[in-house]
Amino acid sequence: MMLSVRICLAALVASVVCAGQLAAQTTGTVTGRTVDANTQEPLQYVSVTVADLTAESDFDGRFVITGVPAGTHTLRATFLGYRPAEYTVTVIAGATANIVLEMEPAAVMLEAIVATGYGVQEKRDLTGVVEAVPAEAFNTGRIVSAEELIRGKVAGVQVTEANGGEPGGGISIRIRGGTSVTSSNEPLYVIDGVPIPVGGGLTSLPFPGGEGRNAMNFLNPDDIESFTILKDASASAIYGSQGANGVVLIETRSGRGAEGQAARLSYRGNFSGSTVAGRPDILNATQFRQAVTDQAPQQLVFLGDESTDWLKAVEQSAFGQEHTLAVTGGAGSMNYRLSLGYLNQEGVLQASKNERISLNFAYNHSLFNDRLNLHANVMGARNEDQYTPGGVIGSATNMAPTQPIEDPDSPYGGYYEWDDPLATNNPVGELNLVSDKGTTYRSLGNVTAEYFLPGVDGLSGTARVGYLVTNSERQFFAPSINKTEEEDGSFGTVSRATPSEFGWQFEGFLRYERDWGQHGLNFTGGYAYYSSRTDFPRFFAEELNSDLLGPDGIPAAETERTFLTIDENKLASWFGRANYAFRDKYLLTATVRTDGSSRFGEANRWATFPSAAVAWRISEEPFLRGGPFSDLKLRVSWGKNGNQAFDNYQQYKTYVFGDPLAQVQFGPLYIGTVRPSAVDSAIKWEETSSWNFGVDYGFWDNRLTGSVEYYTKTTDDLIFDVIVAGGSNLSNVVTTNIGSMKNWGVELTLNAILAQGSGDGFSWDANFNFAYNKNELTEINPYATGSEQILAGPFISGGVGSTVQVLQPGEPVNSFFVYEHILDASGKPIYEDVDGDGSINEQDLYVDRNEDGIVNFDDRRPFKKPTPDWIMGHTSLMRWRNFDFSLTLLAYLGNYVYNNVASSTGFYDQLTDAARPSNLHASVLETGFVTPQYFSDVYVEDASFLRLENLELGYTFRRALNGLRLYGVIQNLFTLTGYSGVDPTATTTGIDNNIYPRTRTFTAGLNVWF
Amino acid sequence: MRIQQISTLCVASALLLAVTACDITTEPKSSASDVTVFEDEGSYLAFLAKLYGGLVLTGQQGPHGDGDFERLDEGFSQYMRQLWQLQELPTDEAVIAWNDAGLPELSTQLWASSNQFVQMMYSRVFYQASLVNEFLRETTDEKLAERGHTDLADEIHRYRAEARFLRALSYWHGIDLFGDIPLVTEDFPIGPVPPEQSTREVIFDYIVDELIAIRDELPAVGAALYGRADQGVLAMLLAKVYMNAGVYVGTERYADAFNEVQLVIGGPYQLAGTYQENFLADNHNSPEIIFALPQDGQHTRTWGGTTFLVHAGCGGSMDNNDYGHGGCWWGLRVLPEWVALFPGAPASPDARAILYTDGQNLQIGSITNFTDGWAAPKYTNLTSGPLPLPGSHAEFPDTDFPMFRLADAYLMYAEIALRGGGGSTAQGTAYVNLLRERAYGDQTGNITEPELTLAFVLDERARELWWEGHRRTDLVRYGLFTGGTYVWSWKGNVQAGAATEPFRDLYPIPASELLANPNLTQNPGY
Repeated sequence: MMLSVRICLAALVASVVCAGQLAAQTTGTVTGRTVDANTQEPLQYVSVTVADLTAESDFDGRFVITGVPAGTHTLRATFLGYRPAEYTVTVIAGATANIVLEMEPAAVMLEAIVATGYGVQEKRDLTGVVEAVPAEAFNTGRIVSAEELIRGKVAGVQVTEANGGEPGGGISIRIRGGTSVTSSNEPLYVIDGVPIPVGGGLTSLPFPGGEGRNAMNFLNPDDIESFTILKDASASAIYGSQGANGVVLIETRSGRGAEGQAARLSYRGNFSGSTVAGRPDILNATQFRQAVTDQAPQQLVFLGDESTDWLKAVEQSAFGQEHTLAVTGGAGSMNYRLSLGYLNQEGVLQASKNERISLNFAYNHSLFNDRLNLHANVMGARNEDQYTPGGVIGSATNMAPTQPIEDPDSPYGGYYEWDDPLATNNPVGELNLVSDKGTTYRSLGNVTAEYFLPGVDGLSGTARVGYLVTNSERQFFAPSINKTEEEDGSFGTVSRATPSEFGWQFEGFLRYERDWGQHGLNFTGGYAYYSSRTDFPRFFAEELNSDLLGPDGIPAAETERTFLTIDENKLASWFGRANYAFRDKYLLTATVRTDGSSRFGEANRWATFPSAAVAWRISEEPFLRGGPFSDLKLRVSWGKNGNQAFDNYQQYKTYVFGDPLAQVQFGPLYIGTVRPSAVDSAIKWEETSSWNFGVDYGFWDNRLTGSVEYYTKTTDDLIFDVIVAGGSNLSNVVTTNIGSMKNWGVELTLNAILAQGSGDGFSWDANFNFAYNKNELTEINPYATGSEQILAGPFISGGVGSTVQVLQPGEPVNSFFVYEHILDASGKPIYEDVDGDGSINEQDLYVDRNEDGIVNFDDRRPFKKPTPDWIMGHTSLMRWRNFDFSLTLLAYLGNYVYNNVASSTGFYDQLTDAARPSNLHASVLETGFVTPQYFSDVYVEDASFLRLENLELGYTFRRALNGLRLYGVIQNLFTLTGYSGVDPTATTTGIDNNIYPRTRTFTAGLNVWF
Repeated sequence: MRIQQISTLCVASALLLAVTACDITTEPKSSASDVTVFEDEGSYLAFLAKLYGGLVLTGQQGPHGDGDFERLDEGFSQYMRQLWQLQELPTDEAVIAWNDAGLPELSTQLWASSNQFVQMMYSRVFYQASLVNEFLRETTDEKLAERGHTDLADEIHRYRAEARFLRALSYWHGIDLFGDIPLVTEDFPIGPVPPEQSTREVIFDYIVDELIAIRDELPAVGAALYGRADQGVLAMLLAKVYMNAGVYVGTERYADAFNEVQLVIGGPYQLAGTYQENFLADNHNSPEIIFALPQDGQHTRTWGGTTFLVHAGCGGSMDNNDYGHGGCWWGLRVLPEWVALFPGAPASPDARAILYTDGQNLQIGSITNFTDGWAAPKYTNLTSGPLPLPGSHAEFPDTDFPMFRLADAYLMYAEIALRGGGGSTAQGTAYVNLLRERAYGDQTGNITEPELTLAFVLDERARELWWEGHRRTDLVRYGLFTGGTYVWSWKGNVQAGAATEPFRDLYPIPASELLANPNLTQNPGY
């Protein structure tokens, strides 16, 4: 991929050099080094052009251009992630001019060459929507998971934590909105050509402690060279049935360009401290005592005299550190890079932590006069995760603040507990008694061989073998003296799960690249095969006879259960792509991929996904030359993509055996059961067809650049767990292809060089990106006659089995589904006995929308939705002398969150519902609710926000070593929002239910090049 | 090696990989397929156990996990728990304090067609029918012959009869609760085509025909293993179907009911020594129980059934240890109108008034407040006898749910006699007095033959069979469930009680079902 381009460029340079030598008498030589203006780190691959001659800098940043005509020239240097630099150079015939080119990093990425999947392309030749984020533009500070690097950087790419500020917790990426309801909405991740399952696989396997952490955590963010986002169907169609949610290509760093160089060492390290950025608004001890006095005086006898801040009792100031040591070097025609990383990040809740040791090795070797390029990359990491036990946050919100933390007489390990099973449990007890830990070893690697076939110019063949292997262990222990254990009847639990995964991939493809005069053709075609297997053994031992052995042994458990689940998955594909360019102005791309997947039913085994795109570089037309446009390109693309991220074996009717606790008594015997499953034997991919209309623009010598995009995406054959007609299948639901949805949106990207001081002067680059997306479910059931509604969303806290979201045609996916609360003149939700029947209930509070005289569940209606209308990002990068300063702002508009903490605790019956009073959400002081109003629209809040994501100040010592930079970063310095809960981004579901608190982080770090 | 050789080698190995890497078939490994499962002869019995288990369990893991249903809370979705809620909560026998979505509106008879509990019950009925249909399809003589299992044929014929009994039982619940529903048999293939709506009349006939057809294939009255169906269980079901024929098909069938009741009464069943023995952790020993849904703390764990009844009926100042379990759930109480059926309550001489009044108000000011309404610990996880012991697990009781018991047959006899379906009111009075003598401990509570009226029988059924899942059907048969003739606390959503619309004698076809099956027409009124 990269290699071939480099070889082509190298050949080009060589020919230029040869040509230059012939004219030696009237020419001179320009040599020099290209360095990062900031860090003085040498930059390789910088394209340096003078007098129509071009060279590329080597590993040390050195370049040589011979044969430059004598005279004064403008030397121009361009490089991915840096602003183009221009120097004036005077060349004297026969002499050598030496120059140091200081390149300034750009906030804005004007990369020349971008990855496109099975190849690379010059940005100017792109017909699809491909956006690259190079390392220079990454977010900085406390970064545990790689996805955090690009938050706010690319229009239409939403990066959301699945569980707030949990260190290393799961992260979701949505590119141009979701295309699926029940299947994954995550993009396909491809790391150095190897696809990895994210949002599936090991992270989502069920375990009592909840889900595991992010599957991408094995990647050291410092090892990443670039992210490339394939947004439209033209760009992602090459990934066929995995491309519907877009594709994220991740390239890791390598030693490219270090051939024949001595080893170089670099170090990056930082230390950070994080604090909780937002707490739920609950009553303090004084307010709580007052509420009990006023509303439930009979409960006063239970109250203690303490004033405990339970939230504070489970929080901590979290310390983090991260170090990466990298060596790069080479010999002859080989190069390598080896890096060792260490990360240790505590969470702001006690007991949660993430520790990572990572190793990354990249090796490149060119053989046989550069005809054969070998590339190998192996990365591996050990992640050790500690989890805050699941119930801690909820208990800290609910536990009465009048009660003490400890109680020497308590049978629950010395922690105070209410003497009633329904009452809230002591979160500190849970925290200290329960342990939940995991260790994951994960390695990903590939070996790639690219061979330029002799005889046919421009024809090469590539073969790649990649693998992904994971071995992990999750261990959970809760002693019998933990009150939760007593209540759920477990009486002490030891459990352990040891999931493992092995996937391998083979790819073979041919590439042919050729120019004939005004015609340029580039063809890629090949075959790919992917196969993976997951083994998931686990056991649970409950009702322990002793707590003595902790998680390490099982002292005579009364109940023992073991499970084993094995999953296999295979995907075979043929793919091809042709790019054609006429006069560099008229560009055409056509792509096709055919996928055969083990997940598709027999009748739909193979799927074909085509796409096509055209582009016109108007700025190359004579009539636009000399105007303000330095670049103007119109693009149109259309394509089909699939989504096959659903469970394995859906097409098979399976018979599942029951466990020993689910037996049936027949006389004196207990018989284990076997159950047939519901099945749609023809299940297949979800299919998304998209259009994209785009304009790339550049004004005034590219001081202002960017693009405008308009897209539509129509997804059909959506997979739902649809309610089956009673009697027609072997469950209440079956997973099947049914339903359609639509997304359309506009994206605007603007990169501006606001100040361009040369040398030490002040420079300021700014990037603005705006994305609007509108989602609409168009159909959920073609057979339906009446109103179509499917309840959706996760179960909320409060009321078992309650959901507050809906799927309804004409509305966005997962719209909230709530009553319309009647408001009084001042806009406050009413709470009074309007109909005078002696009680305050639904009949009094909510609008009877179907006008049948009764307010019941049929009166709920879709109301707002969790996804934002607008996502806006801004990055500014300023430099002055040795200082650099950057900031990243992120804003959402039109996203709504259901404040489940308020709805499940903001009512006075909390004081009496269980035997002992629970704390209240402060909203109750406003609303006065006595009974819960889970389904009131009062709790669906506008969660639009503006956040200062990242603020960084750095200083570079240019002469120290080979570069030394010190910097400080503040993440989430402020969030401006009208949302009353802890975090307006909540989770991807839009339900704010005791999520892990978001953090504010202060980081100090240094980068050194030796 | 020369370049030529290397490239040949590369191309060859690449091609080899490509060719071997074409297989895209995978098959389930950790579960059986419909082809492999019956290679193990034990699978027939295991599948039959699943059919019975469908009334008790909610999935393949106890107490929950790998549920039969998706998108519904698994603990809620238990068959008996939902049947119980739909039969008891809208009546004068029970209220529940919880605010789970759709639960309060069951108590007030104001349920919506989107009510999740209505949906769960409907799904359970058809889940049972679908499982039975699949069982019947997989156990035909042809299939057995194909698999070389003809030696099992006799045993499997009996399994098939039991399966059909279970299907008839669920269809009875279906027409009782929902009226006109589809009739899906083993001839209806699994697939995307939704079944047609049938009628109460057709399904009524189908149930009767089925039960009569399988009668001789089941063991004699009282001869089955505990927890399984025999001719006694079948007769009891038929009796209850006939009893309500007037409601279902507009034609009374009391004479037919009488024959079935006689079969039951003539069987080996006897009243247990004390009333409460039928509802305790060792109630599998009760000679009175005709058909039970067994639960066991060590083998059969569920969040429904008696787990729900034992825990939810406990709260307030009650000490859970007194009832043999680990914690109260603060849910179920009885209504003052039901309490009024017991003279002198709470100190009633009638031992069937199992009440807990300490710190509880008789009147129900608020449904959601557990201390409003007297508690009633009828079901416990303690064994019977003078020295009660807790069951084998503190959370999951050993107590079995008594679906059919002899006392019900006696009361049906009395009602049939009064309605002229057969038998004598004298014998009916005698049967009722058997129950009352046990309740009073002596004959002071006995009634005379003239005192035996239809109204008395209804009240007596409430005294004897409360919280056993019969009340709504009984009130509908007497025409008192909806309307304003008889009102009780919170009927119609007011504490004093108010008339409700007669269409609520039937539950709505769930809104989600109308979406899934366009062949269905909603019940009138909804």
